[in-house]
Amino acid sequence: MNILIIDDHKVVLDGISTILNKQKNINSVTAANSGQEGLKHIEEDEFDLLLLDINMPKTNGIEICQRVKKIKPTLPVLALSMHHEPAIIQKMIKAGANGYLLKDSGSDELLIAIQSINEKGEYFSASVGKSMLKSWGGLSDFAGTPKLTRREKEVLSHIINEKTTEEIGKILHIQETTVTTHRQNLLSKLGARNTAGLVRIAMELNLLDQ
Amino acid sequence: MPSFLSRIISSYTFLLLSFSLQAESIVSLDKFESPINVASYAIYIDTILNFEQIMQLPDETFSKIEKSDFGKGFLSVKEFWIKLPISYSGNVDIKRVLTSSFSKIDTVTYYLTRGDSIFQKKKGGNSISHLNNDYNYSYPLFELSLPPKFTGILYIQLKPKSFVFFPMEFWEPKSLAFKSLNKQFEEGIIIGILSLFFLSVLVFAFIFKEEYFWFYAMYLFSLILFLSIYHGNLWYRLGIETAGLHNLMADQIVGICFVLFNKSFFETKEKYPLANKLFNLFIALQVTSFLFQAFLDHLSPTLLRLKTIVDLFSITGNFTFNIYILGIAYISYSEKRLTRYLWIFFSIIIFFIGAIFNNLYLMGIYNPEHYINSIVPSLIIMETVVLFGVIALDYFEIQSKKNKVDMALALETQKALGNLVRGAEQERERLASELHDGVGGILVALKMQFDQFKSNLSAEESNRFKNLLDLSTREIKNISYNLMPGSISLTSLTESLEQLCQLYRTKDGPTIEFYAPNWNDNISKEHKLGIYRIVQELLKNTIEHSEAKEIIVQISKYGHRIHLIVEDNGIGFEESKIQTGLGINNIRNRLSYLNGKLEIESYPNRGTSFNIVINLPNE
Repeated sequence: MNILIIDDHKVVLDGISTILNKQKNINSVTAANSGQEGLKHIEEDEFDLLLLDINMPKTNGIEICQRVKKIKPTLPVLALSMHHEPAIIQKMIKAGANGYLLKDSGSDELLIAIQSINEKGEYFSASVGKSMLKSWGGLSDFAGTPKLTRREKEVLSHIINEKTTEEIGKILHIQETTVTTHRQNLLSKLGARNTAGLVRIAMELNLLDQ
Repeated sequence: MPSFLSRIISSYTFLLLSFSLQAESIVSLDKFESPINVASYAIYIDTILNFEQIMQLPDETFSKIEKSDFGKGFLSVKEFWIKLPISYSGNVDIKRVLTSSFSKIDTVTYYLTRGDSIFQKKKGGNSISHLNNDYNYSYPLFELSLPPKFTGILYIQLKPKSFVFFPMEFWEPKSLAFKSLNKQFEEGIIIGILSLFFLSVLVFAFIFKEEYFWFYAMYLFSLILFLSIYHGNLWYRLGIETAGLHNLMADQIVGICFVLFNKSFFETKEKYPLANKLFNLFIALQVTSFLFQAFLDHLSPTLLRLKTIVDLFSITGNFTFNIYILGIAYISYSEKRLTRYLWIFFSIIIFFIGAIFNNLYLMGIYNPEHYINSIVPSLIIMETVVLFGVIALDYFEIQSKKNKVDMALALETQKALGNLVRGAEQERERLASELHDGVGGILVALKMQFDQFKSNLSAEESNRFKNLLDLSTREIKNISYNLMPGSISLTSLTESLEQLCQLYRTKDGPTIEFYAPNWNDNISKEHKLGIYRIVQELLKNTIEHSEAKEIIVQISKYGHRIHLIVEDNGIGFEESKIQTGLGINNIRNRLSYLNGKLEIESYPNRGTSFNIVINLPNE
């Protein structure tokens, strides 16, 4: 098994190389200090796995992953990162990463991850799964009734009372453009296409009684 | 200001001195004894006769005064009579005001006769007396009503106080003129125009709070007073007798107000010492000409011709002088070339109009019925219009400069603030990456190495080491994340904000809803980080202090405007407390360089809304 590591930190490169070099099923470990260097290696040589750091200066791991997938679509990529933010994990997956491993997981998990990708084609560390789940938990609120801000409620009640944008602005002592913003935000939050839909949804959900 | 006041007082003391000297010189003229030949128009008598007796007197009794006698001196009599044949050929009733120049007359009575009977009799009030220091003035005496086709004789009885000084043109037929009421109407219009200017300057003074506006208003008011008093029009209409002192006062007031105004006007132009010097020079010239005039008066009243040449400076100068000075002042500081040349042209023209009319008058070519009614008021009006223009121009120029300076200053502050915040962020970024990548990297490597050696240790030892290592990695991660969210350049702002909200969500804490109803991530990293920090600060504050059950974070973007709302349903804040809180100050600082505004609405026990609008630069 030939492995390429791309990481801008020498300590990490050395650490991982040392561990991997001791493994019997790993033939060679190539270390690249930057994305550019890594891409060069990928074009010139054949690898069985790419360990890719995300947080790097100049070109970040997400972009490199996208490029790698264009050059060598079959090369498995295992993202290595200190970040556990769901947004970044999602981006990495979108970019084509086959696995995501938090750097502080330790060598045991690293080896498990490599094995898992080799066999099943993917790996996600337990803490990544937890983080994603947690984020879905947070996101799940979107599915319910959206909460309206005080101003939005005021604007909505005036819209229901058939007031025009100009009139609402005057009543609430705010600019017309601000009223328009609230109105558009309301449409977007409630998923309505027009004022009629807005009023209907507001009535159905009893939004003003919240 | 004391130096300003003292300068005015000192320069004006001279002017006052010259005025009083001048007044003194007129009084002293009375000391000259020179008999006057009584004209066919007038008779002076030492014993008091009644009107019937005067009527009986043959024409020869009334002697004629020759032109050569003009201005020669005074007469000391108990009373004198003027006989004036009048014929009016018109077809409608007319009213005419009879004017003349008398000095120190106690009472005036006129009898208008037709045939042998008295047609009208009117008595003028006491002391239509003027300390008359000029020869161009005529004062209204009566209003005569004449029927159509009227022929008759007007007898005027004048009772002097003690003696009478006959001014030069008193005996000229024109001086005892009928002044048309229309003329008075015109004067009314002039006073009206001046009053309009006066009121508008007052309004400007109230609005703009520029000191010299007040002085200018004062000056205009003094001009109105001057016209009213000097003409006697106002007093005549009000039925009040004017005394000579009023005229002197009018002169003084105009002078004082004029100097005060000009001084204060120049005070605003400290940068232009040349204009200031010129102004002082003209003041000196004015004072000198007054003094010279007074001196000539002392020497001899027959030197009137010479005196009037000096008047070229004092009278013409009086009213054109302001424009001239201001013209020079404006030239010396106006930066616009066109305005500069227009000004030179305009001031010279005005000066010459005044000078030409004055000279024509002195040469006897131009001799209006009422000199003061025609030239001086029109000069005053011209002057007023021009001055008004100057002040308006000047004011707007100052304002635009001020605005430019203000704007530049605001921009500078914003820039400096921006640099400060940027600097702090850069430092945080550096620190974060050093911690995260440097120390964090080492810890990662250490942990991997440790995994290789842990078989040599007992399970308990290995666990302890592992826990310590995990703990230090986590700490480093948290610290560096707080310093700089590593994800900010990797993810969109809304993702970072969602993540941020996620960080603050706890089991027992408030629910935090994040909405981004309309968003595209097309903003600079600076804005991203700025907004991120603001939300971070607001969330931290809200969770710590508000006791809210529910927090809404919402961000939307329409065109170049970002609307950010952080709202809670907590206990609310006291306005004063929140406006000055350190966190809020930080937010305001950040917003000032992001070109944003923060509005806080807080309701006791209902919660607080932080509404932020950020205007993105147009690119």
